[in-house]
Formats: sequence, C-alpha cells, structure tokens
Amino acid sequence: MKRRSVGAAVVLTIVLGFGLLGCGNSNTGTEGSSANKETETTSSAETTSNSVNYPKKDIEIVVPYAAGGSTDMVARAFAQVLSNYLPNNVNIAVVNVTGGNNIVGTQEVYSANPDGYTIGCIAAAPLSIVPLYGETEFTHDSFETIAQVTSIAQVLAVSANSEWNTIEDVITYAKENPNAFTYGVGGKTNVSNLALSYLMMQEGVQMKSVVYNGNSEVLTAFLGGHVNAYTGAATDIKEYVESGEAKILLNMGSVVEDFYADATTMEDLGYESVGDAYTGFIAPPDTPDEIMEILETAFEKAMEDETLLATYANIGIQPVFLNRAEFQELISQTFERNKEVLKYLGEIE
Amino acid sequence: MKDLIKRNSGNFVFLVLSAGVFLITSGQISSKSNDVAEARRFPYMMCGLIAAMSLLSILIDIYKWRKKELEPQTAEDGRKAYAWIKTIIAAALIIFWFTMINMLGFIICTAILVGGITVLAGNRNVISIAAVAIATALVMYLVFAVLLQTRLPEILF
Amino acid sequence: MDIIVSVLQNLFSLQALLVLVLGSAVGMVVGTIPGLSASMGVALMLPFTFGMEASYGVLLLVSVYCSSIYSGSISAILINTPGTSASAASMMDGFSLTKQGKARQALDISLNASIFGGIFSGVLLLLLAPQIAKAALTFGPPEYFALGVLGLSIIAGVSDEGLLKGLILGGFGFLISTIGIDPVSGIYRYTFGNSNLTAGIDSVSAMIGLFAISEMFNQLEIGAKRMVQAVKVDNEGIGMRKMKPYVPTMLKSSVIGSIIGAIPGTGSAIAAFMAYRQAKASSKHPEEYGKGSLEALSAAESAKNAVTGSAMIPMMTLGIPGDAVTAIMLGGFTIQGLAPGPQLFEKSPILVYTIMIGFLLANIVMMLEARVAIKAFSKISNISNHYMIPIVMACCVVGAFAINNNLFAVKIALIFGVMGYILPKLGFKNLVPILIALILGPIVEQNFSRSLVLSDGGFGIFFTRPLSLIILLIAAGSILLGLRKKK
Repeated sequence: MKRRSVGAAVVLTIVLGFGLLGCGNSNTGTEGSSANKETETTSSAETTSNSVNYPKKDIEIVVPYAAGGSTDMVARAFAQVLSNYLPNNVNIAVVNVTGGNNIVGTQEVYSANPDGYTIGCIAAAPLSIVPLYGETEFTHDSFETIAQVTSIAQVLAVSANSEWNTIEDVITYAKENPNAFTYGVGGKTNVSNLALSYLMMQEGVQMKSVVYNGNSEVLTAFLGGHVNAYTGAATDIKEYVESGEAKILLNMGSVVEDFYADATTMEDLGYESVGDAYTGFIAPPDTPDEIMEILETAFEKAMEDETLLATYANIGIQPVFLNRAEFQELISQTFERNKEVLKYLGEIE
Repeated sequence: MKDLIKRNSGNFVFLVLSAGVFLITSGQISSKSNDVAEARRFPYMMCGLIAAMSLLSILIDIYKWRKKELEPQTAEDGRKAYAWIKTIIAAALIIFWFTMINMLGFIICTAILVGGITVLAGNRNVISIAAVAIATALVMYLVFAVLLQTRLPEILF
Repeated sequence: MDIIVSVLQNLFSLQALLVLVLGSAVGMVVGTIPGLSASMGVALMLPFTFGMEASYGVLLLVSVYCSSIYSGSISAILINTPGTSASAASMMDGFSLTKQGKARQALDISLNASIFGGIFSGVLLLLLAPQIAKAALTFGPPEYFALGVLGLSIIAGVSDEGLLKGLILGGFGFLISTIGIDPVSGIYRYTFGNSNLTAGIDSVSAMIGLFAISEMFNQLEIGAKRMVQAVKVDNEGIGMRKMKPYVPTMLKSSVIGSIIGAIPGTGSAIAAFMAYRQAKASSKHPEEYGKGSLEALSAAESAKNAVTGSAMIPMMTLGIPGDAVTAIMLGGFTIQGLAPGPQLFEKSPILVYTIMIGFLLANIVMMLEARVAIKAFSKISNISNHYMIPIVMACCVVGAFAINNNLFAVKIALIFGVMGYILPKLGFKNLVPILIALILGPIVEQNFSRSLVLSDGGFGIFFTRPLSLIILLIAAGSILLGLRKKK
C-alpha cells in the first residue's frame, strides 16, 4: 500500500514539475501563438505558399555534433525562436546524432524524408571537407541548403608568455625548425586543420599537427603545455584570451570579434580567408521548393530576432547570413579549394 | 578428439576470427608507411594477441589431455533441449521491431515485441498477454515521446 | 560574509528545492532505464534551463547528473543490466547479491557509497578546485596512454576464469573499439561503406546487448518463473551506521574516483573499475569479489559518484569538460551567458559557490528520494518472469534506440546480445573484459599515436616523462601482483 502511494507521489511530482517548468519553456511560445495567425503575416511569402500547409507537425533539427558544442548551441538558439516565424506554431526539437567526424548525423539528414520535418545544422566540414575522402554517400551539393546563419572564425593561439608574438614569428620558427612546432586540432577534417595546412602549403613550412577529439581536448592539451598552439574555434578560447593567458596570433577566417581584433588575418598575409567555419542549415535532397521557401524566409526573419541575437552574443558569435543559393555557392567554392589542399598534403589522389 | 574440439570451441572460434580480421585489415585499411599514426598497428597487435592466446589455450588443453589431467566438466544447469529456439524467436522479434517500426509505428511494434516475448516466457493467459503488451507500449510512449521528447517513429498511415 | 549569506539565500529557496527534487527524480528514472544515459538526461533537461535563472538552471543539470550516475546501479543490481555504463563494475557483485536474496542490502550499500563518493568529491570541488585543475592539466598524451594501460590491466584482475581467456576477450573488445574512423590518422577502419559504422561501436549499445539482452535470452532459455530463484529474501537494510567497516574502502575508492574525474576525458566507468581492482588487491577477502561482495560494491559505487563532483572541477575552473555530461553542462552555462573558466570565480563568486554547495545539497536530496524508492525497488525481483523479461527487453530495445535516435544502435545491441548469449556456451563466461577494452581501447590507441607524433616516433617518450613512467610502473606492478596471487 505504502509502496503504491509513494510511487504515485513521485510520478505526480514529476508531472507537476514538468508542468511548472514547461511554463518557462519558450518553445511552445504562448506569446508566439497570438502573433501567428495565418492572416497576420510576418512575411508575405508565407501566405502565398501556404497552399502547402507546412509545417503541420513538429520539426526536428539534427545536429551532427555533441550537445553543448558551438554548432549545437546555434541550433538550439534557433530552435527557441524559429517557430515564431513559421506558421502553425509548431515545436522545434534538437537532436544530437554524433559520430564519425559528423558523418552519421549528416547522413541521417541526407536519407531523411524530404518533407521538411527533418533539417540539419552543420558547420563547414561535413560538406566541404569530409566528402573529399570519398567514403560518404553525400557530397558538397547533395543537400538543399537553407541558409548560412553564422560564421565561427578559426584561430591560432599561443601561450601569452611564449616566444612567438606574431604569426610571422611562428612561420620563421617553422622554417628554421621544420616539424618542430606543434599545434593541436580537434579533428583531422576540421576547418582549422585544413586552413592551417593551406597556410603551410603557401608558405612552404611544416608544422606538426596533433589531432584530438574535439576542441575542448585541444584546449586541455594547450593549457597543459603539451602543444605549442591551439587551433580551432575562437569562441572556445575566448576566456583565456580575455584573462591574458593566451594570445591569438592568426585569424584564419573573415569574421572579427573584439577579443581578437588585432590578430593578423589570412588576408593580411596575402592569402584567401579559408578558416571560416560557416554554420548553416540544410535540408534533405529533393525537398520541395515551396517548403524550402518557407524555411528560408523563416530563417531570414529569425536572424533579426532579439532573443536570438542575445544568445549569439552570449555564445560569442556574430550573425552572418547567406541565402540558399549563396550558401551553396560558398560550400562548393570551399569544397574545390579544399580539394587542392588535400591533394597537396597527399591525403587524396 | 571430438571432446577436444568441443571443450575448446571458443578458442578455435577466436583463432579463426583473428585470422579473418587480420586478412580484412590488410586488405581494407590503407596505410602510409611514413605515417607515425599507423592505423593498422593496434588491429594487428590485437589479432596477434587473440591468436596467440587462443592457440596457447588449445595447446595447454592438448597437453592436459595427453597427461589425462583434465578437470571434470562443470555440469550445465538443467536446460531443456532446443530451448535455444526461444532465443532465436526473441531475436527475430527484435529484428521485426526495428525493421517494421518505420511503417507500423512505435506503439504497434513495441506492443508486438512485448506480447511475443511474454508468450515466449511462458505466459498463456490471453488477457494478461494483451494487457502487458499494450500497457508497456503506452507507458513507454508516454515516457519517451511525451516526457523526454524523444522523436519516435510514427505510423505511416 | 555576504557571499555566504547570498548563497544560502539562493539555496534555501522554494525554487532551488523544487529544482533539486525534480532533477534528482528525473535523473533517477533516466539513469535506471538501460539505454538512457546520464548525458541523455542532462541533454534533455537543457532546454528547460533556458527560462530559468542561471544558478537554478545549472543546479537542475547537476542534480540530474548526480542521480542518474547513481541510479544506473539500481538496474545493475536488480536485473544485471547497468542503467549507465558507470555501473558496469557494480553489476557482477550486485546481481550476485540479488541472487542470494540480498538485493536490499546491495541497494543500500550502493546508495550510501554513492553519496559518500559524491560528497567527497563535492568537498574537493568546494575547497580545492583550482589546484586540482592545474594538476590535471599536466596529463598529456603519454600520461593518458599510461592511464589507459593501467585501466586495461584491470582485466588481469577481473578474469577469474583464467588470464588467457581474459586476454582473448580483451583483445576482442579492443578490436571492436577500432571500428570506425580513427581520429588521429583519419583512416576508415572496418566500416564496409556503412556510414553508421564510421562512428564506431557505441559502448552503451554494446553494454545493453552484452549484459542485458543476453541475460534475457538466458532467462528465456532457462524458462523459470522468476529471474532470481526464490531464496530467502533478507530485507534487512544497511543504514549509515552499519557502513563503518566499509569506510576505508570507500575513502580509497573516492580518491581514485576523484582523480579520474578531474582528468578531462575519462569517465565514471573507468573510475569504478579501477577502484574495484584496487579494492580487490588490498582486500582481506578477495575471493568474494565478483560473487557478491558488499565491499566490492562499495568500492565501485563510491568511485563512480566521486567522478561527478570532480568532473565539474575542470569544467568550472578551466571551461573544459571532465566527461561527456559536463560537456553538455558547459553548453548550458554558455547559453546562459556564463563563461566557465578562470574569470568565472572572480566575476560571479556567488554563482560559483551556489553551484558547489548546491552540488552537496543535490546529493543529500538524492539520498532522501532514493531511500524512499529503494524499498519499492528491492521488491522488483519478485515480479514474475512473464512480465519482467518482455518489459526489460522492451526497455533495452527502446533505450538503445534513444541513445542517438538511431535504429542502428538497436541492431548493434542485438548483435552483442547474441554474442553475449553464445560466448558463455563457447566457454567464456565473464564478459566484462570486452567492455573494459571497448571503453579504454580508444584512449590507449589514440594517445599512443599522439605521443608518437609528439616524439617523432620515439618510444622513449613514455618512459622519460616522470608521470607516465610512474603510472606504467603501477600498471606493471598490478599485473604482476595479480599473477602472483593466482599461484
């Protein structure tokens, strides 16, 4: 008897608790529903293409990255606000499908039903680097791109009290001591690895890459002094730059944030800016155009959402928007360029 | 002789397995000889370990057999003959679950899985079978889809 | 002084209490169900934290974390299936105890030891976080390799049916761990063109299959009425006072757990196994280990929960996650606008202390909730097999799916289930070495490769660095000791 009532009490508490907590959950936005009647337009494109009546049920964003990482946070930031810009006030859930250099999750989006209820959030690598190895079904233009929403610059940082003060110092050091300078990178196919390889290729120097599983492992190794430099997302090392322990010497991308405003960029060195981990959303191949339009417009509108921008600021990234066509163009461009780098490195034929 | 093989069946299996994996490794995995991070290193090492250990076990057993020093076989707990068929059916039910789930949906497939296994476990009371199947499927649906917000495949129709 | 006042005000509020109670309850459910891991529980709670004040949001995640790591042992003890991989070490003794009718005692020890470990590491977190973090950073690739080897040496102590068989299974597990893309070289191994295999074999699915599904197959084969043959059930509980004889073991194990937790990239499962091994080596009754030793259980349990507090050390002081779950928590922090790391302590001391003391509170709340739940849980083994087998099987199957929302995991679980069913028939009864090697394989191999990259191919690097040399010597010593005792 006692057992049953205890069990019932526990279940009740859980349900009640969820009910209470659910009020704070902005996904089902009660504020959103009043602003989202079909007649009221947040964008005219919606009413015209509502002949398709999408979305009718919950949308799922597949993130091929671990929960808590920068791409995951971007996806979650959008999951919070996107339903305000889509008709019918649906729920948007984020699902992490990790593994295999992001292949598993990306593959899942590739083989998902092209009905607009499964979309993916990816950074550059799965589309512009990984397919070059030839082991994936998908390639750089297999997907229907929705939009680019941000760009996370990849940087190279060294310890504040190291002997190198500029990237030129590092390059000189590398010229005199080939294969002595070590840098940590979060994955063989990471954007930062390729960007730095590109630099090495152009400058004709050799540095040693020590490959880890993700940026936080690189950070750990860097802080422990096991590698000379950290290469990876600027956001992950922000704390240490601000506290003065690390200094960013090279910005491999084109996005500039305050905390590395004076870092040399690839362009300063005279090269293309190749270190942008552009992050964006994609949909399975052959998703109908009407649905793609609705999605694209929704994302474009969401980019101005205040809550979203606040979250962006918290994460430490800037909004960068490219529409469907432009995004695909960017991906294909970087794909071709990466092909050259990989060939030079002898990684592919 | 037959005894020997039966006693060491596991060892033989692993011996063959390690040989097989070795072959697959040589064939499949490319390796650049100037690369310090040799991808075949540990697989080869492990194949070698498994092969060596299983071979050693077999040899030790032969040695004991020769010297007639064998330990008595531990008696098997009384299992009925052909009871392994139940395992096969259970496995088949699981295969059914993940094959048909995208068509029939979570609730139906789970109910069938639970119903099937409870029958295998000896349940013959139809009401009880139906009850546990449906109840389990529904509770799981509630917990996973509603509480935890996992996406469960839904029925196509 | 006012910091302390603010912290206490924060903690002893209705909202804090609600968060802790709820988090513990959710964590306990999530942790017990095989297939739902602690990281899943925390990830699922993440969206709920957005609408909350920062410290409460973190406390919610913390309480889910602690209780899910604890409750994995409930199912490990009762039905021979760890609910989270951390409880794999508790399985052997825990289930044996259940078979002897002592489930209640096993559950009590598990709870008490877990709390002990949790609070131990919580105190460390509170008092020594920055120092411990600095020490943890000195672990580089060679040290991680050595640590992995030390972990693997546990196989020598766990395989009581012969070292050879243990090595075969260990080698087998290691081989399985190489499936997928090798991170360091980027080469695809054994993937046969299947993209799902590129991620490798997930240890959680493997564990569900190897220990749970296979157990269900066994039960079907035996065809008994209940999982555990009706033995005289001893429902006498073990209160805090009766724990006195286990304190030395729990202390040592908590130290081991705390060390492992503070080193980024390791996890509770490894800590539990190491503590188990260490306890066995220094125990007065080593022959009981694996057959239902309460001491063994206390060692494994306190170690695994000792990881929870210390894993938060690198997360909060350096902004580096100590394990998969703290990685998600880190994301939770960031989205709230907090940046864990050196500046957090300076800029928001109130928040930091709220979290640390809240951690201790979470453990206490968990203990209270669990005490109530245990009375009910221990009766589970009385339920007829007609219901237990299908329900557990369903939990395994759905749980495996829920790991990554991927049906492939279910296939893996099934394959391992069949493996776990067939191997004993081939003469290999103790399958734990497979799991150990599966978890540790990547750590050993990847860090070996990285070390060689750093040393340009020289093997000396493992011996010239003092820390890795020491760890390797400990590993060698432990293997030799193990072999000696066998004679």
